[in-house]
Amino acid sequence: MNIYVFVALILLLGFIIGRLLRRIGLTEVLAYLTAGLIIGPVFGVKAPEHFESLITATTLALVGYMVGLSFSFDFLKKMGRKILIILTVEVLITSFVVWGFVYAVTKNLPLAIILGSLAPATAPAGTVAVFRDLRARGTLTNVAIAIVGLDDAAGIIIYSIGLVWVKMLLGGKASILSSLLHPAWEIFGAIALGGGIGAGLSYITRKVRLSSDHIFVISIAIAVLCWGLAEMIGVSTILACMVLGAMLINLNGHIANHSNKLIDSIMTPIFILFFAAIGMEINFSQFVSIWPVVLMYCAGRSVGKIIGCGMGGVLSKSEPKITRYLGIALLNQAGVAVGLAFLATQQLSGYGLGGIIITLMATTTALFQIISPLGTQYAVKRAGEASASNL
Amino acid sequence: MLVKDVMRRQVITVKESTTLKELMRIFQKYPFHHLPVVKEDGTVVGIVALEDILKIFEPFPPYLMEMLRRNPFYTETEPEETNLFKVDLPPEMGVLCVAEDLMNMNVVTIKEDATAMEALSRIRSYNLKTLPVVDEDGRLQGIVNLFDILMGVLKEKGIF
Repeated sequence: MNIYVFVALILLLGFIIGRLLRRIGLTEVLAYLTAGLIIGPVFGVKAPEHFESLITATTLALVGYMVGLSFSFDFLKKMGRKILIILTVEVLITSFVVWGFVYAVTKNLPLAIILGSLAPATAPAGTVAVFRDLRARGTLTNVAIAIVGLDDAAGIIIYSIGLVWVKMLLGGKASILSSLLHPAWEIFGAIALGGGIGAGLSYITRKVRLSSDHIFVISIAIAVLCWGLAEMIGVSTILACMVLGAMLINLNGHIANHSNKLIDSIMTPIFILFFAAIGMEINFSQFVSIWPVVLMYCAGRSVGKIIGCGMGGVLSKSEPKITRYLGIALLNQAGVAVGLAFLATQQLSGYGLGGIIITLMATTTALFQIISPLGTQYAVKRAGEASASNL
Repeated sequence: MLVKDVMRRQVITVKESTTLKELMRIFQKYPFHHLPVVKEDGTVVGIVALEDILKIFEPFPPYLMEMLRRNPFYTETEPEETNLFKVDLPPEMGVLCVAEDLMNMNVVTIKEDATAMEALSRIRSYNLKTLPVVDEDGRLQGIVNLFDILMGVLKEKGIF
C-alpha cells in the first residue's frame, strides 16, 4: 500500500475508534492498537519497509526523553522520601512476583524476566480518570497520582536491566566477567552517553540564542541522535534518552520545559502510528497456547502490586489506608508496557521470544483496562476518599 | 538600545505569602496580569500570572498535575475548562492559597545592560508576556515587555 494512504488510514481509524472507546471509558491506546489490528491481521495490509523501526525508535526516543525531563532535582525533593520508598518497593516486588508466577507456569527464565520487567508500569490516564470521576481527595489519591506519574520511569529502568539480563542468558556467555561487564556496559554506558549529550546540549543552549522553532528541532534531533548512538555502541537506548532528559532539566530548565511542551504537542499522531504498528504485530493464532501465561501474568501483577505497595507503605510508615489499598488502585496497565514490549520484540527477534511478548502484553492490557477501574474505584471508596455524591 | 533605556522601574510585586484574595485585588486594580514574586531582599523567585489562578481549579495539587502532565502517556480526561465550573472549592481557599502555590518558578530574566534586541528575542523564544530585569544578584530592578520595547524603537525612529 502507498505509504501516505497507509499513514492517513491509520490516523483516521485511530481517531474514530478512539472517540468510540472514550465513550465507554476505555483508553485511546486500545483504539490505536485496534486500528493496527484491523489494518494488519484483519485486512492483511503490510506496513511499508522501515515504517516499524522508524516509528518505534522515534516514539521511544521522545518518550524516554520526556520521562527523563520529569526528574528535576526540585521535583524529586518535593515528591518526598515516602513516595520514593513506596515506588521502589512496589516496582521491585511486582517484577519479582510476575517473574515467579510466569516461571512457575512456563519454566522459561528469559520470558519470565522480560515479563517481570514489563509489569510495573501503571497507566496514568485510566487511573486518574477514575479519581476525577469520584472527585477523590486525600493522601491515597495524592500518593497514587505521584506513583502513576513516576513508575513509567521506574519501569523503563527495570526493563533496561531485565533486557540486558535476558540477552545475556540467551547469548549463552559463560564467563562471570563477561556476564557482569556486558550489563554494566549497557547500563552505565547509557548513563554516560545520555549524560554526556545532555551536558553538551545544556552548555550549547546556554551559549546560543534559540527560538521556539530551534528548540523544537534541536530537541527532537538530539533525542533521536542519542537513540541512534546508543544503538551503535550497544548500550540501552531508552535509558540513554531518559538520562539525556534528566540531565537537561537539571542543567537548563528553561529549554527543557519549553522543549517538553513543544514535543508534547505532536505526540498524539506519533502515538497513533506507534501503537497501530504494534497492533499490526499482534498474532491471535498464538493466543490459544498462551492463555495460561496471560492468567499467571495478570495474577502475578495484581498480587505483586498489592503486596509491593503494602510493603512499601509499611517501610515508609504510611497511613494504613495506603498500605491496604494503594496496590488495588494501581492495577491499570497500558502505554509504556506495550511500547516496551514492542521494543523487546525487536531486540529479541533473533532469539525466538519476540512474537509471544507482544501478543501477551496487548491481551493483558485489554484485560487490565476492563478490571482496573473497578479496583481503583474500590480502593478510593474503601479509603474514604470519594466525594459523598458518588458513594 | 539597552534594556535600561526602555524598562519600567515602577513595578508592583508580591511576596510568596501573598494570598489569593490579595492577588485578585491587585489584578482587579491594575491593568496587567503578570506579577513578579520577590523575597524580602528583592530576589525574583517566580512570576504569578492571571492564568496561574486556574491551577486552583485543578482537581489534584499543582505539583502532582505537573508530574502527570510530564508523563507522555497521560492524556487529560476532561478539558481544562470544565474544572473551573465543576471543582468544589472551600471559601477558606482565598486565604489558604498563596502566591508560592501558584507561581511559575522557571523565570526567564534579563540584565539592565543587555540589549533590547536580546530582551525581545527572549520574550519571543519563551513566549513570555513580561521579562523581569534583575541585577547581578538576581534582585528585581524593573520589568520590560513587548510594549516597552516597541515604544523605545518607535521613539528612536521619531515615529512616536
